[in-house]
Amino acid sequence: MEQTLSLLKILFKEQRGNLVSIIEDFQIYLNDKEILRLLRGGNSTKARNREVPQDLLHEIKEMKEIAIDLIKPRGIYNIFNSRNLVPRFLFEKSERTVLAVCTIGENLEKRCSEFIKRGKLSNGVILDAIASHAAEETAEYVNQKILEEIVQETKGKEITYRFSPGYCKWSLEEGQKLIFNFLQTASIEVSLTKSMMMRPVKSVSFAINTGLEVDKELGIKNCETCDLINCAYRKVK
Amino acid sequence: MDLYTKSKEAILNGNTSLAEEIVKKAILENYDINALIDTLSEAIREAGDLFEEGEFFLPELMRSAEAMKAAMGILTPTLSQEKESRFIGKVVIGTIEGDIHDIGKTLVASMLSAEGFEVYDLGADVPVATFIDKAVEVDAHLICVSALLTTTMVGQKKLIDTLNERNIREKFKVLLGGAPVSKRWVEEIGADGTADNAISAVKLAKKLMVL
Ligand code: B12
Repeated sequence: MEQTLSLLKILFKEQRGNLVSIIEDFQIYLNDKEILRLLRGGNSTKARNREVPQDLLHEIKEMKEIAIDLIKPRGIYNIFNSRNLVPRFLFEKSERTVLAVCTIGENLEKRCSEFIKRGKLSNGVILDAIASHAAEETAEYVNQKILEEIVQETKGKEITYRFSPGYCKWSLEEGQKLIFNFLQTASIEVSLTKSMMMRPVKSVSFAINTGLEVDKELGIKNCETCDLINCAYRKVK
Repeated sequence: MDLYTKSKEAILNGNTSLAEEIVKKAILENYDINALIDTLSEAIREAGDLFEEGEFFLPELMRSAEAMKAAMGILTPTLSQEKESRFIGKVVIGTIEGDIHDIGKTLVASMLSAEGFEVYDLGADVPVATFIDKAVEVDAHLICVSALLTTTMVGQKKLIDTLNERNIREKFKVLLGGAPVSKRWVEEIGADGTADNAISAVKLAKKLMVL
């Protein structure tokens, strides 16, 4: 499971006079436990002590082998003066804000719909869970890399957890418009649809606030503090 | 274990080849096909419950759905052989846009065709315009619209509204179905009826043809 990290590339590109960073060519880890969690049904609190069936574990292994070649994780970010960002209530205590978008690409998604179309529903939903997990891991990785990159300029500053449009009272529409206006996401091949959804679907957009005294309540530390109680990815029931 | 129980187990275990084998045997040995279909439907609902309860993983429910579809694929042709085909009327049927639940819809479609309806099954995730265009094209008597999600039921209303807008509402009887559909919903949006299983769906369809 613990595959080696491959060479990490951070490219700095000149875009409209802005220095943006692209993080790519890295590898993420797929964890069976997390895939199983995404595939577990129900939101009852009922005891779930049934053992995971062997054939399911086997199928997950098979699907992971397919998925691994189709996942192309990458991200783009830049750091902005928080004063220029709206809605103000989210950014007023912050000095500099990182905006980022990352994705696993569209190949896995395509393979997944192929399976579903062919009636291979079980394979399809497993691939979908793997893709969701991979997108989350990508966001986590990119987040960590960004923190390493900005360590100099954030010395002595506070840093929030990442927070995303659609969460933490940040409206999906307002948040996506802001992030996609500020970042040239075409360079990692992510675009925004009219309904504010990202293409490829398995993409994550987020912000991180930094400053002398930031609002630490922002950001998703864990599911318990999130108000999206019906979220499919919620870890606490 | 009798054949019905075995068939139920096969669906719950998501065992497609076993499910196929069992229904083939049932056909050969002249089992009551309607009773068998009832059992299979019960099994897929139970698989759904097990998933809701957190007992089943999603791929297990999916395998049950795969097994169910395979079994129905074998049973359906025998349904239409049973009766001598006497033409009753034309039906356009499908699951509304945004919704991929097609097991119940396919069941209703097979029963209707078994009873002598000429059935145009448009499949699942069908846009309102496709329903209407097909109904106009084949000069259908009935339009049957299945919706299993509370969020896609609005599509049923959209269909009625669109028929009204195009001034062709009177040309067709519209039947609605799917677990969340109630008599009240049917009245509210001005459809012609609903039924909560395939047998009553056929009865209702026949009744409406007489009118
Ligand atoms: C099997 C199943 C699936 C399968 C579908 C496989 C397939 N190819 O159809 C899979 C696993 C893929 C699935 C997916 C989803 N499902 Co589902 N699924 C079910 C389940 C367990 C059984 C449905 C079924 O096949 N029943 C057996 C058939 C024979 O019965 P039936 O469909 O009711 O049809 C009968 C009658 O309603 C009637 N009838 C049906 N159509 C018509 C039409 C007319 C005109 C007439 C007169 C009568 C009629 O006659 C039929 C035969 O007797 C139900 C739970 C349940 N108990 O209903 C949930 C259920 C319908 N699903 C649900 C949900 C939420 C989903 C998903 C959105 C989950 C997700 N988050 O991804 C997705 C759907 C994605 C999408 N866009 O559509 C919810 C809907 C909640 C709601 N009210 O909105 C349910 C109720 C489960 C739940 N309790 O939460 N699902």
